[in-house]
Amino acid sequence: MIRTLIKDPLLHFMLLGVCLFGVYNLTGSEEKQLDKNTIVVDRDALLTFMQYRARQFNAKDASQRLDSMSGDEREQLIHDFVREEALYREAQALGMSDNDYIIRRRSVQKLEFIAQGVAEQTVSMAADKVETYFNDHRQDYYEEASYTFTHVFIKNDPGDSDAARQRAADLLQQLNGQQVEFSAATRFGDRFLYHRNYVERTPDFIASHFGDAFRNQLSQMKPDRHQWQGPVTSAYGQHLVMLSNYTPGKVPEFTDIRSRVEQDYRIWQQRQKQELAIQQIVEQYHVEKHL
Amino acid sequence: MIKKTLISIAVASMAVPYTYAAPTQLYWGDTHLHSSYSGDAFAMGNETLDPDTAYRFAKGQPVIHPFNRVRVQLNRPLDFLVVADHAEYMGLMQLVRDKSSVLENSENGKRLLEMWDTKGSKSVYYDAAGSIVKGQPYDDLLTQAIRQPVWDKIIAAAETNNEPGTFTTFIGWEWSSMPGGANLHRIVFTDKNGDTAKQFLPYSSTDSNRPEDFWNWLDKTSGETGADFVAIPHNSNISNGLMFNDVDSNGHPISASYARTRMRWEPVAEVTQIKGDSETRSSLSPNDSFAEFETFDHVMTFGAKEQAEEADQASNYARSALKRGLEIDAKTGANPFKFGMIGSTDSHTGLSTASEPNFWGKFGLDSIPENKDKETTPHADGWSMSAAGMVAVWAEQNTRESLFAAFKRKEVYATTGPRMQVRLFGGFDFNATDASDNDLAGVGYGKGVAMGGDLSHAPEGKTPSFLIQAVKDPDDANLDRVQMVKGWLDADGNSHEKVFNVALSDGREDLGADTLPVGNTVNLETGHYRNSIGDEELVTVWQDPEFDASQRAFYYLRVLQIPTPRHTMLDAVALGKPRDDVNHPATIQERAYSSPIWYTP
Repeated sequence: MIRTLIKDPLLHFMLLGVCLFGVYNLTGSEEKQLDKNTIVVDRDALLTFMQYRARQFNAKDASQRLDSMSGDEREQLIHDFVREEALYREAQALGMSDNDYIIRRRSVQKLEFIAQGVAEQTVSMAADKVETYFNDHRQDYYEEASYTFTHVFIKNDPGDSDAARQRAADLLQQLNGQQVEFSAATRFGDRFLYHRNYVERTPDFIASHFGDAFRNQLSQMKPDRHQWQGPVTSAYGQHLVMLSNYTPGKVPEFTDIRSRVEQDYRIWQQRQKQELAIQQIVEQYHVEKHL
Repeated sequence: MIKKTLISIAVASMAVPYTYAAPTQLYWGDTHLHSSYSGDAFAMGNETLDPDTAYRFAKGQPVIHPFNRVRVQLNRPLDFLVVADHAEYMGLMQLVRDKSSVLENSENGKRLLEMWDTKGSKSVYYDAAGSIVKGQPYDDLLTQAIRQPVWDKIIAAAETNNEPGTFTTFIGWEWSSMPGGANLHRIVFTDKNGDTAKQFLPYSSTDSNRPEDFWNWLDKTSGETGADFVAIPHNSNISNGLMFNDVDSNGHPISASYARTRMRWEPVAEVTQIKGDSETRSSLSPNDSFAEFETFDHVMTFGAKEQAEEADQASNYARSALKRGLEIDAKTGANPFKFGMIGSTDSHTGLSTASEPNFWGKFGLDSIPENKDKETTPHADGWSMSAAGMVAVWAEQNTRESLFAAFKRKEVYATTGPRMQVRLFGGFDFNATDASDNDLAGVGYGKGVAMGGDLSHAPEGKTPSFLIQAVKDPDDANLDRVQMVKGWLDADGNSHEKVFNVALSDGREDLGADTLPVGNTVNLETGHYRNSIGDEELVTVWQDPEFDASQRAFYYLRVLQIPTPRHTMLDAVALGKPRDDVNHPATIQERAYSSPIWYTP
């Protein structure tokens, strides 16, 4: 009998109810407790409601918005608040919030929002700090290198693995011997799967067309508008390359991207502070592991 | 001079043997088709036409229309198709309808199951869609347990219907990002097969609304699974000034790395479809008498009034984006808008029908003339849309590998429905006799680059010339003209545009904007037209008369048909209505847009 009682979730629910009620008795204010069917709409309640809705915790802003509302807008706000409050209380009365994972998640999110809101208001944007942040996170702003080149492609011959290499070597001599220009490349070689000319393309883009091996070989070349280089091997065959331009990868000057860095710094600072706030909450608890 | 349609068909079919020798063949398809697995499609009259049926219809097999129950079949099947359903709650409506047990572990699932019985399917759709519009998606309906089986079915439909050499399917979906109603949607498809596609679930706007996050996901997923992707932005016309603007999602000026990431994943843009054309507007191109084609600017603001404030139109249209791309390129060293152009339907019936006389609706609901006045998307009805959007691909063969490579190199082009054949090659050595060469493509590839390509380093004293061929759709109307649209950047960093008539039908003289119009043979009482005007084929070599080797530039073709009846007119005839009641143009001048060729000094 006792055992079945202990296993009965209803009993747990009732016990929990007693606990909650007890807590409520201690913390609930006198007048609110008098009539649980009364919803008090006051300025504080509306301001809180507005801030949760906007997911922004800034009392001053909310206050201003409330004051600038037209009569209709304010009525609508009150209507929404009352509706939500009434439904919430009813749901609570029905015990719907207990053991509900969604509510658990939402409650956690709510605290995270609050922590975030607090963090947002305490961010400082000192100029030297922003620049320090930039220097610490330079890699976030790195802009990739780019190449401009044209190529003459010699398809792999499935029956003869050396044939393409031999053709490429002969063609290389011809191209350089005749001083064939960049724009005349189309007259030579086979049709390649992708482009003939690549203008201001990054190593990743090039690798997505030619494969990694080609990219690596290209990175060894020196730009020369009058010289055919190679052959370079890709998965598809041999390539004779005229590399006309190479722009090394670089991190832009801080002054050129200041506004972007400032925003990143703001977000980074908020995250740090929010994490700190959450950490402080977690530290209030003693964790026992029974694994 | 009267030309008979029969003759033109004969000419077109005789042309076929020549193209056999060509290095690339022309393949026709649609990369943007919704089936009943898209929630809005389901809610608007397509509850039955699933991905498998959509593929079968595209292959030429007869199917039953999901709304009006007519047996429909394509005269001319497609060569390839991407069924691209909305990733957001993909297939959820079916699960609710079928009372699927996977929903029973979810609060919202249980709620929707009940709602279906008490309030009906539409309420379920609006409830689910509303949660996304509000930015509060139901997490408990986005679990792998719910999504995986739906995704598996989409994969299976693509895998079963893929027939290399005959008909190609790609596994894909739509990322339907819509911040504040602004359309930032992208179609995504992969080159890989089902085994690879099963390693991920479609990235959805419930994961993130920001294109930057979406590209990061593509990058990461590509690294993990080996899948490559093509992502295709569309309906920039209703993006509320966001699709091609000059700042990123944080409001910062576009950087070189933004531009390069975007171009790694988005080689082409869909510039024409049922919900309007996105090439250009009169306000952006005041000297272009053919601008303002099939304008559709009903931004999809759900439950709110249509945005009154004027969006930045230059950010909504492809031509102005191509120009802006040159400006940003000069400033940052990378062009974020170096895209090719395609069309597709965005039909939600599961039926890819882009032709005016054979239009089976944007949705199921508006597939019959009587329902064309029903609002199917916010603020818009069937009359305001047109049958549109095909993508043409020049590729070696009809396989996933070959077609995918063509998308990546942008050797693709857009038409508003008809299948006109368009070749474009750019180089420095084309001369007038090349236009009459039997092996036109061979000459084109031999002396230049194809559409989508780059030219650079003009030899001293030389000017780019272009080898151009446009052939009419054998089953459709003659051609009015071929135009070259050029955009360039001056020394001060400002971009400009100009439209050149490069080939005119019926022997007309080019007088720029004063060129005689081709005429109009459409009979407004019967809806018939005759191919007694226009030409079957226009071929030419054109040299840029204003070339400056120090200026960045792009060149793309616009090919115009002679006027033909719009579906609205045919439906007005069918309904016995006066045309004025329909309040939309009776005729339409269908067109093709090639992908551009860029010149960089």
